[in-house]
Amino acid sequence: MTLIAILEDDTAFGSLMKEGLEGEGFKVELFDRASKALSFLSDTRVDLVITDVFVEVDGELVPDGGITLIGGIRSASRYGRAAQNRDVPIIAMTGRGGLLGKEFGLSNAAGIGANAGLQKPFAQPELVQLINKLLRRSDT
Amino acid sequence: MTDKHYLEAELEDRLLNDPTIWDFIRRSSLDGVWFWDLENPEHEWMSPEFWKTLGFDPATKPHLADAWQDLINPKDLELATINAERHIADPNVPYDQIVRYANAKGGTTWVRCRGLALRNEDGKAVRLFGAHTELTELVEDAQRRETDFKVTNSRLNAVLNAAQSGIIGLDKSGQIAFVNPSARHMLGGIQVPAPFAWPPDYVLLDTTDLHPLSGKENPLNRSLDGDTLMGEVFVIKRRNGSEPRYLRISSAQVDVDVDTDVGVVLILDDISEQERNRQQIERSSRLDALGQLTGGIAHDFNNMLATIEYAVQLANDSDDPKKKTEFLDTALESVQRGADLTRRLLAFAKSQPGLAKSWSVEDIIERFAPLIKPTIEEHISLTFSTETPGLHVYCDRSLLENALLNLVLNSRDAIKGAGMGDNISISVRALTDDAGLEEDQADADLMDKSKTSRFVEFAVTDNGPGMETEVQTRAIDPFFTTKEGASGTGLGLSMVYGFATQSNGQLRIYSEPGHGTTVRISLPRGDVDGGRERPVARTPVINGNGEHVLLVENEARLLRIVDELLQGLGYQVTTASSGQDALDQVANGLRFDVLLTDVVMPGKIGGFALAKELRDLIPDIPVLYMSGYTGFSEAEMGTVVAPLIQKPCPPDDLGHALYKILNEARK
Repeated sequence: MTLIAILEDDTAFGSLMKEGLEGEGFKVELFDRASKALSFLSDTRVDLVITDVFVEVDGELVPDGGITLIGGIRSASRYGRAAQNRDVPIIAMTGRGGLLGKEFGLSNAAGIGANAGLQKPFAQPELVQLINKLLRRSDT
Repeated sequence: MTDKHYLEAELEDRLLNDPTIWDFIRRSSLDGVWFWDLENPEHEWMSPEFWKTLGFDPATKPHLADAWQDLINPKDLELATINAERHIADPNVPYDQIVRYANAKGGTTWVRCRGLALRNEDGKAVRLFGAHTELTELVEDAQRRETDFKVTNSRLNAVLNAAQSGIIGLDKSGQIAFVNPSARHMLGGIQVPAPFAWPPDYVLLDTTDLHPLSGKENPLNRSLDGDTLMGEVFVIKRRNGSEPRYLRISSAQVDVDVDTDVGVVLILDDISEQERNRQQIERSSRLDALGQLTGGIAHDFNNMLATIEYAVQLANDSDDPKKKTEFLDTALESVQRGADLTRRLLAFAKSQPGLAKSWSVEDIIERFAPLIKPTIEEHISLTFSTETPGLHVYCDRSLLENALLNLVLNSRDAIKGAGMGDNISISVRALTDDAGLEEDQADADLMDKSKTSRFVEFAVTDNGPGMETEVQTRAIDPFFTTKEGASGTGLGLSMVYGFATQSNGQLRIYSEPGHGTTVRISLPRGDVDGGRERPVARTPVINGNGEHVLLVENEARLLRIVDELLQGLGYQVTTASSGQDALDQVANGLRFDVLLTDVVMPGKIGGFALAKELRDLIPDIPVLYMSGYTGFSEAEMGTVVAPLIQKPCPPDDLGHALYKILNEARK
């Protein structure tokens, strides 16, 4: 079964994605902090990661969001167990316009080490389509 | 008379009989003795010790008065001779002086010389007996101390005079015992010689709420009571006038065992400029915070929308009615969160993002006038004027109307609150970016110096009470308000500021306490097709022909700018920093062709009074007033009614105005 790790600090939205994707037959692990996701990824291989770029605590941005997560995944030691997730496909999503350009497009996503970007709001079919595209690509 | 002590009697007896005592006094306790025959004054016996004191071999020196008189300093010889004559005439006058001898090494030996006239039975002085005491070391030491003292003193004076910091010494009663020029300057150029009392019209205020510091709170008293001030900041203000300055004060206690006059030394630094810069930075960072807030809000909204869209879509696709309801409930909750956020936002700022477009200024005024009129009391007149017909402005119309409404209401509240003033005017003029408007660096056309962006300026002027400088500088701070109670949120002007800057324009506030306030919003010009006007070729300015302008402006920065501007336009310029300065220069023979003067300036002679004085001296001299606040009436101008140009004034406007009045004067 395809295992997906999601980092999303908005718990309402995160739960919704988890439930929706599980309805599509994916297995989903949901985290609200990069540190928690990284500790999970250090000894579990996943097929795909979906992450929010910015994580806020009480309205303040904290350095425990998508950028930390992606950095942690891509820079894992080749000799440790976490190396199994080094090249996992990653989807970065954000609701913040302006900071990373008006459209959070692929070029910006690539800039932070993700394979694709999604601008919030979006609906599930759009997400599932993107997931399947990335999984097909990583299979070949 | 008491009986002699037995030891005194014995000593006197021994002195007569035992020659070793005299020998001791002469050789070992004095530096020389002498015995002078006043009946044959060329003969004088000097002890060998005297010559040894001066470094000579006694064998080479004859026992003649000439021997010492050749070596003594001529001035001292004169003194010694006079003293000798007086003593000989009157035994009660002592023969005693300190004199200089040229010694064997070519240097000076200082000697104290005392003598006693010995008289015969008739009382006539026949001999003069005396003794020497050498003082060279003591005298030289004293001289060295005096020189050291003078050097220290002159260095100290140089430091006091050169120091940019004000330095004040306070005596124990709080009087100013000494004061350097910088400190005098800080106290309004006070000229009375020290000691003097701290001038009572200079008050020190607390920086946070500007309350006057007296008694134990006053930093002077605190330092006298033994507190050491370590660079504390205060506001110093002259009662009834002058803008407040920020002073950083440090203090040091003076060692009371050494200096009994001065108790405390105070160092005062005028940090007004840094303080205003700091406030400026603080203010812009606070305004930036508003921008960041907007970014954050977009993020929150998009997260909520994401939940809604996602949930609605899942509900749509689900066949299970229970699941459908669950998804829709989630979406509803998110809608609720969004509504909460909106409510909080609206409470924070009553504005909405809008769309910029080009609008006819006349249309805007036409629609705005009837909207605003009912909100203004009947006794306040509201006037509108447009200098240039057919102007277009590029902005969000509803935000502009909102901004103008805000400004008019501010003016109304100021007039009502102070019970002063009866007029609010909205005037519109065309401006080019030369007036110091910010350029949009990203727009390549604007980097082309042959082209210029044009702006439209809306000025709202009232003849209310005006604002003190401190209020002016904080006027656009979010949440700063002078309105009492609940009538103000403090967001009005900061919203207008935000609107102006976000629209690529500027907000400027000019206020003259006692006269009124002008707030100017400059916005980009629009074109007839609804867009922002592209930069246009600069219009040629009308140059002067070497005519001599007397420029009077108290604000140094502005004086420099206008001076350069005028010179660039081909005028000859003489500057004056105040009305009095201008009058003094004219009294000293300055001749000029036209007076260009600021209106409100510190000091007794303002722009209007200056124009009157100069017209009295030089009838028909052309006058041009300039001011940021433009609400002056002809009655306020007094006898010399003349054109008033608005600050900031672009070169073409200034050139045109000067050309016009000079031309009229020639007719």
